[in-house]
Amino acid sequence: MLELFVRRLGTTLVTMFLLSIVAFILIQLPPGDFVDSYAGKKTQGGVVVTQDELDAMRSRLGLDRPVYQQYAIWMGNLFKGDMGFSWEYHRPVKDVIAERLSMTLILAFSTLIFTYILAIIIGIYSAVRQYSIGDNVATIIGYVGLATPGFLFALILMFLGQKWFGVSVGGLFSLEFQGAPWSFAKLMNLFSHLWVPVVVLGMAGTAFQLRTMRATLLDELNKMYVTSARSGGIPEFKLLMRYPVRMALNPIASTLGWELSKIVSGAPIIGIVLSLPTLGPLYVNSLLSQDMYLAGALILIFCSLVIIGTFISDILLMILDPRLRMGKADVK
Amino acid sequence: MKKKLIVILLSLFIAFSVFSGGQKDTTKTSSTAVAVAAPTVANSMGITTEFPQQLELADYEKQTGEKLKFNGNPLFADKESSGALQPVDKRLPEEPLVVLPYNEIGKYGGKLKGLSISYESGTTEIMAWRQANLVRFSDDLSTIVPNVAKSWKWNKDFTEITFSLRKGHKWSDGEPFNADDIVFYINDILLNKDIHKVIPSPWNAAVPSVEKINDVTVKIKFENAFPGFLYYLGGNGSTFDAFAPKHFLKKYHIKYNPNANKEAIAAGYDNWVQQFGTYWNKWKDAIVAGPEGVKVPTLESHYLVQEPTTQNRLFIANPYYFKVDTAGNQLPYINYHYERFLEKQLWPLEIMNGNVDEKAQSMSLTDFTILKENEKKGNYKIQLPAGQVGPPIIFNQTTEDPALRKIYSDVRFRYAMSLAINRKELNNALFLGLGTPLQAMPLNVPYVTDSDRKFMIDYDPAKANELLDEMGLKMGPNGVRLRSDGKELTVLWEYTIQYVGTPNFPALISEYWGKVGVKVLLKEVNTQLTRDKQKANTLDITSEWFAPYEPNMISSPDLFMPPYAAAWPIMGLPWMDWKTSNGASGEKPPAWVLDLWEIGDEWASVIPGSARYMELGKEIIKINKDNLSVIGTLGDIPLLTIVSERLGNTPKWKINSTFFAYSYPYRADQWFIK
Repeated sequence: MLELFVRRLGTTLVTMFLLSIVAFILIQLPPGDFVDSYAGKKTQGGVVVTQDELDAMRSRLGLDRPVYQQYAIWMGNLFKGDMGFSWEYHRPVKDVIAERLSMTLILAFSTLIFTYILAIIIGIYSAVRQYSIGDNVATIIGYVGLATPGFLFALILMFLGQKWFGVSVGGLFSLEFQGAPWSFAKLMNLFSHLWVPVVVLGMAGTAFQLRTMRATLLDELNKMYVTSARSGGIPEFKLLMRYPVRMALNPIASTLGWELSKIVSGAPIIGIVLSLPTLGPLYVNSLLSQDMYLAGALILIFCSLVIIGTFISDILLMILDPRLRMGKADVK
Repeated sequence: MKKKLIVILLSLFIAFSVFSGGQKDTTKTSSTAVAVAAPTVANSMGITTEFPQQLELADYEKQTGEKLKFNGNPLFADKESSGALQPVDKRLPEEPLVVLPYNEIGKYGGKLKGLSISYESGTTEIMAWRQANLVRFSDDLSTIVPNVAKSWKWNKDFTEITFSLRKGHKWSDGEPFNADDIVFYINDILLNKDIHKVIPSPWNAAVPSVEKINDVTVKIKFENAFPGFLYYLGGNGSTFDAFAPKHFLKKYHIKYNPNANKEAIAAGYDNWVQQFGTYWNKWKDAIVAGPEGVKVPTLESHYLVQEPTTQNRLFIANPYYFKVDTAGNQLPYINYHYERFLEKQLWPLEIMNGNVDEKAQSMSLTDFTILKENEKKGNYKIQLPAGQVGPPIIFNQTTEDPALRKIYSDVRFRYAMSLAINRKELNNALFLGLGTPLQAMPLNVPYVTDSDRKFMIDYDPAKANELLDEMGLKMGPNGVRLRSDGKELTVLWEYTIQYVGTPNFPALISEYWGKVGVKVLLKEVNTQLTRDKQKANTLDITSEWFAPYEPNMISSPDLFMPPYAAAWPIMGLPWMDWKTSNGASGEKPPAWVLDLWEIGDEWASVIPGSARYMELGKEIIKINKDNLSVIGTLGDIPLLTIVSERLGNTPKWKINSTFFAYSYPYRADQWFIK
């Protein structure tokens, strides 16, 4: 068990190192650099920038050095906990990310909780009351949910929210709470905004997990041990929860890692559509303005979340499923 | 048990969502400004002013026969009573500028809410709300009026200007502002070789030097006459300052602090110039785009009050601002400026939600209908001041391909291309019919006539065909004309959305040209690439050119002579080489270009309004018109301007353009929240 854990951890770290190289190459790929896009923005505002100024800026930012040197400097600093300097925001990348990290995590984990609670409850209901009206409704909504792209759903919800509730877009708080200290009213205000991205982000995942839960539970319900337990006189609800549901939860737990990574990777698109104060829009902006240390750090964070998600789900499975645990123990 | 927990959590979540849904903005305004009957622009009550809508305190008191009593914003009351701030009459200069509000004496309080795209992108408009430079344009957009400077005096030949400042004027940190701050700016920033390798434009043409006469008097001398100086300061140079807080900056400057370099390196900078650059930037908005911005004092109506985040910036009223209204209330009325960085696509939604008080920069005209429909809901009114132009088309007359070069440099070809464009349809299709078909002419100057503006703009494909036939470009079998070498006449148009606005623009134009037998290949590229190609002389068509909305065009003559821009050549690279190398390399340009350059040399020192000015101006226009190097499409296109009904004392916008720094002429310091 411990060896397996260590081995998993090892591969995780190696993957992350390789990823950092890929990340660095990726942010170098687009033509031009930060200086070019800076000049472009300035000119758009009618400001004249001379070639001398641009060259001076380039050498100040180290952009005139070879790529491998730039990577070595970046990596070296990363180990010291220094993620570099965000040129666009004029402060350390660490500070820029810290500002938005908490909201990103709140959103990701709220979505995860939303997804699992809804999927498990409705999944159980659908399986037990197969082909009832409730099941059919859940099935239809589930398929629509699976088939609708998140950004489209976000646009629809945003339109409805704007039309009927006057919910302000572009953030997780109304104007008067932005920058205000935390209070109960602010928390309420957060919830009134949070449901839109949570529903959008969680929708596809919920639909998928719901179908999984329903299918596996249906399989389990017809098995002999259920019938024998029922004949033993165990109350129906207790029986359901104790045996088949527990079995059916297995595939759901094993996909926790994917689900987290799906939420993380889906978040930038939704974040941009809804203009959320999360890392997603920051990431896209940093790519557009070629603010490369910020972009690099964000790519690393996103990838790490995916890798960590996979790692967690590996560990979870080992804990949940004795067969896996035993199997590996035998290898040892 | 577990199920119970889940159900409770879920229902709590839903309850929260429903319970707290749809909260409205409840920002309240406090109001304790003394609201009495006082002279305004609407009712001047017999007060006469030398400059529009404002006058000096002494003049005002003389006319009213009373001493003006000053009131301060209650926002500062706590600090005043704790002794952290002096009372208002000690904070104001001894001679504050008296401003006539548009309609009424305003109320203190509230938050002015605006939108921009991101740091240093679309932020000029918000900066315009708090602007303060030596002089500014009045809202007639032609009169230069005193601002930070109380008055000025030119010498006869426009080589010396003497500014009088306001005695007792203070920076936002309470330190005195005086002549030293202007001397410091010119000697230690503008002319400092470490900070500026070359003197920045347009100062470079004039070559300034400066002399302090006393604390409130400073004389700037120019080696070459620079009559456009004040127009530059009030217009497209207004986003830069002509002064800098010496008391604050000198500790970072090597001249005043011999250890500046050592300290900068210790603080993590490469050298003192880099550290200095975080506290001073030619473009003022760059200073407040970083956390250091909160420390930098300013003369503007509001200053950065907390470190900017990736989502917003907050500015608070400057307790030392130098203006009062006619009732003696210190301006600004509005307590806070709140700027949010938001995706451009979401702007209309936020505007319709009533969360934006004033917005114009970068707005798309295509949002007009939806925003108009929702005026009531969002509690705003739309104004449509002129502020944009339709993309111009510039053929590269020095292109490398000899056959194409011959065609592009034939003026008949450019006439034909202009006549082949259906501007009316273009206007309706892309600009809701709100633009006006116009040639590319300066829009606000006295020497341009209507016939200049309407030159060759009528849709006349027959005439265009005639001209092309006359050039010997025979129609080929595929409906495409043939070049002199027998190949089909194909124009490669590499465009960037930044300058054509929408891909529909080149698509429509190429359709029009196709009808007269000129084939166009369209290719969307990024701005960077078009600039690289411009620098390499390999682009066939450019649209990166701005028709200036200026009262006299004197501070941007570059736009009307090859290479038609200051930063990178738009057209005529070999000609430019020829000029800079004194004929050693490049190519000798045609006579009309030489004529324009010759006028340009004199233009910078000509006095606006003089007979010579009119004469030369007409000549510039005539040469450009006759040669039609820049083919204009539409002009006077409105810039969608949203003005909240919450705001008081807002005027009717005449022009809303970056050349006048957006709302700067419309005096945001005397706006208030009703």
